[in-house]
Amino acid sequence: MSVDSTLIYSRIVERYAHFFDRPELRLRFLNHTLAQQTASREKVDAALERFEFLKKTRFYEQLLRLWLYHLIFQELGKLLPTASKQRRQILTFKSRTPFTARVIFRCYQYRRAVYPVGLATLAVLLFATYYGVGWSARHVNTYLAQRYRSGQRVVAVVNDQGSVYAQASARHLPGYKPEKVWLVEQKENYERYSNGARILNDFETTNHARGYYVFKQGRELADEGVRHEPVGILYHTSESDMLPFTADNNASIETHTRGLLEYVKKNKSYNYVIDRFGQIYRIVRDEDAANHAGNSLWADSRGVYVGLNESFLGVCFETKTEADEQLTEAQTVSGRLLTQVLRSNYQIDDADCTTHGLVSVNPSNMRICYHHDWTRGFPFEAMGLSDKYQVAPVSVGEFGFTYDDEMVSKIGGALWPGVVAGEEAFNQRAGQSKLKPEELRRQMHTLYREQMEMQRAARATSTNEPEPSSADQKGL
Amino acid sequence: MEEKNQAPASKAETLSIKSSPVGLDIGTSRIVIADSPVNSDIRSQMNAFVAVPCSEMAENVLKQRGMVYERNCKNIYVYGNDTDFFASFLDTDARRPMHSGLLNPQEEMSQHIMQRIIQLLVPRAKRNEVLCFSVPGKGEGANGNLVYHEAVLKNFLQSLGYNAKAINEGQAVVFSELQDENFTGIGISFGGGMCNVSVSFMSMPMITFSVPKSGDYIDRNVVEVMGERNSTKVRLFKEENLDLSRQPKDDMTRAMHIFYEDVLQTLIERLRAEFKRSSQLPKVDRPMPIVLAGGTAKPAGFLQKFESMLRAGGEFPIEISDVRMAKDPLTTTANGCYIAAMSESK
Ligand SMILES: Nc1ncnc2c1ncn2[C@@H]1O[C@H](COP(=O)(O)OP(=O)(O)OP(=O)(O)O)[C@@H](O)[C@H]1O
Ligand SMILES: [Mg+2]
Repeated sequence: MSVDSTLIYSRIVERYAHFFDRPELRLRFLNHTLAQQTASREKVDAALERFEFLKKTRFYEQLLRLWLYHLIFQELGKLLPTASKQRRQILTFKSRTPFTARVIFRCYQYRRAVYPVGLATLAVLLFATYYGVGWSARHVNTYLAQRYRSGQRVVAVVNDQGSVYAQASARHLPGYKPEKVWLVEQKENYERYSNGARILNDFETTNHARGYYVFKQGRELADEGVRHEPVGILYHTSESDMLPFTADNNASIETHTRGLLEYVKKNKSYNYVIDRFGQIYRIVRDEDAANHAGNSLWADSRGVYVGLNESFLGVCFETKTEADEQLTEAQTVSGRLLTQVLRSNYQIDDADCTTHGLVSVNPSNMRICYHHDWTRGFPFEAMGLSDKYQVAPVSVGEFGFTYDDEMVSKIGGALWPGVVAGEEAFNQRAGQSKLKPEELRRQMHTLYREQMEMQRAARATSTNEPEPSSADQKGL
Repeated sequence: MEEKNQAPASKAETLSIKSSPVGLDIGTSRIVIADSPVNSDIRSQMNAFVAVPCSEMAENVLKQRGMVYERNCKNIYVYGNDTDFFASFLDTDARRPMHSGLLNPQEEMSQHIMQRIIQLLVPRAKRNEVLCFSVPGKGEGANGNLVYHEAVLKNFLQSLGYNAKAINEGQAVVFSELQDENFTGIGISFGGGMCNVSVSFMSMPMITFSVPKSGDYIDRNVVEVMGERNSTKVRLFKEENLDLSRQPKDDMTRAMHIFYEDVLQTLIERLRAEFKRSSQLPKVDRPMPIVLAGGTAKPAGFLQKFESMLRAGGEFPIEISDVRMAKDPLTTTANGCYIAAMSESK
């Protein structure tokens, strides 16, 4: 809540505080009313997150103020002596209570007498609100529709009105707003969060600081300068050896995990690893890039991200693509918890939580799926996320990366639905710009390389560190 | 295992059962309880104890005088208000379960003795009444320990059947003294172990912190520079004779003036710095009052000294309306905790 509104609210509440002579009652009144108003405002703000412009209207402020009066009278009713004689005395003789406060409270007291009028007013107000919200939702929808019809880019969008591809599945899923999760306890070797997540840091290490651009159109940047905050999450598989998941294998499973952890720590491969028992390990700290997705692309409604080591957090599950059972129950639970923690810490949008296989590309032959972990079967819903297999990847839809039979058979014989949608979009775009798809593809290929170069240069100047080789350093 | 042998409780209050909210000031020097709106009902116990090796003679003395004590196979422990008498009887310094506002980590008996002292004052709860107890604010050397301190006390008070809640000591001063300002202003408690400050806006603490210098710091340093052997003597001299409005006439008083000024200087500088640093402070639309409380604020001339040092430092980051003394500086915190407890009760 803004400092100014705190001040305005507190002034209003204060006028009524004089009704209370006893310190504990006054304290309770102030405390309750302000706390409730803050909570209500936070709720309304969260609900209106997508309609920022509404918050700037006077209507919004008026509504909150009305609500505050409601809270005040509710508290007054609860706390003032119930005997009406005493109440009258308070209202007449408390000279310190401002006149207007007394009058307004009187009106509230006799509200039942003016009930019919009140009801009618309320009805009008409600209708106006409904109409207003309806109008603005339509307005937003039309705006988005127009924007996407002009069809520059097919992306996973933050709000589900936007992408026709994300819509189909996302509509049936619960809201994906990041829940507020906070650090509860910080011990020497672990952190515990309010949602129950426990992050172990025995294997924590550092790497170079993050630094990346968001590209709007071509070489044009979405905003000034280099960004450093993680913007999304990529899920990986470790592709390490899997022993049968049974009790008598306990010791050997743990030995395998330890080997994996030491390996990924040495190579700074991911930001997090979730072992088969669901334990979450931090490897490369969040502020630093890990080497998990060298040549890669993703986009959201803000723009395009290239070379996602810099911009995305890498979360690796200890598992293998061919395994019968991809994730243990413990891994699924921990994956969900870790997702909540990271999304809450960095305000990561659902649209930016995807898998390595869906972002990885091979620029040397312009093919997608250079790495193919989680090109199918990732339990997005269990992680509290919408299904990114339905989203057209920007690599295909905008940059024109393709695939071949060999690759398709490698990923299990079928492509995910988003690729098909992406191909259509790309061809349409080529048509619109009166270019052969091949020509557009060549242009985009160059653009991809240029963007990677720009980003590399930006990072080198911002960190003054030698640049590691651009290829993925994943060896597992 | 230790064998515990509790002497019969001499005070009737230990046996009674409580059915109203309670405010409890757990201070380095004294523990104070407020459980009624009448100020004269406030009671306190010294937060100190003396240990002597078990002997029949010592135990007889204690029994004759009806003093509270506890015995295990090695020692006899005398605690609470009887401590001073017994300490001077044995000519030793009393031991302290708390140090600088927190449980004393150097003192192995600290938790046990404090529980005993608290039980002298606080009867068991009837049905989960609210009890608010004071805790210091964050400050030098009081961050991690603060969490521990609060958790230990809360646990113990819960085990007595209370719905226990911690209240910042500076904020308790605000609750006790600034009702007419709708709990907007700066409360400062000058205690034994530390000074606690809370800047409150409409009952919400905006800035809270502590400075680990106060009465004990003054005593300790005066003892050191005067080459005294026993700090109790210095403390009693301070409590009975010190007048900060008069020019010091002897070395002891001069030393006290110096360290009083040192404490005030540190506190005022810190207060200025906190205001400059804090970004979340609402633009307060009115001048704020400052209230001074705590035992160390008791001497004559303290208020004037504080005010002149405050004004001497140049313009203050916010406008101050007035500086005033709390009604009863020794019971302010307990009373504030009591008001908080009442406000949280059904
Ligand atoms: N009349 C007095 N003159 C000077 N100092 C006094 C007087 N009475 C008490 N004190 C000092 O005040 C201090 C105790 O104050 P108080 O009881 O407020 O502290 P506390 O609450 O026990 O400690 P804290 O709040 O730091 O944990 C001691 O240092 C004591 O010597
Ligand atoms: Mg105190």
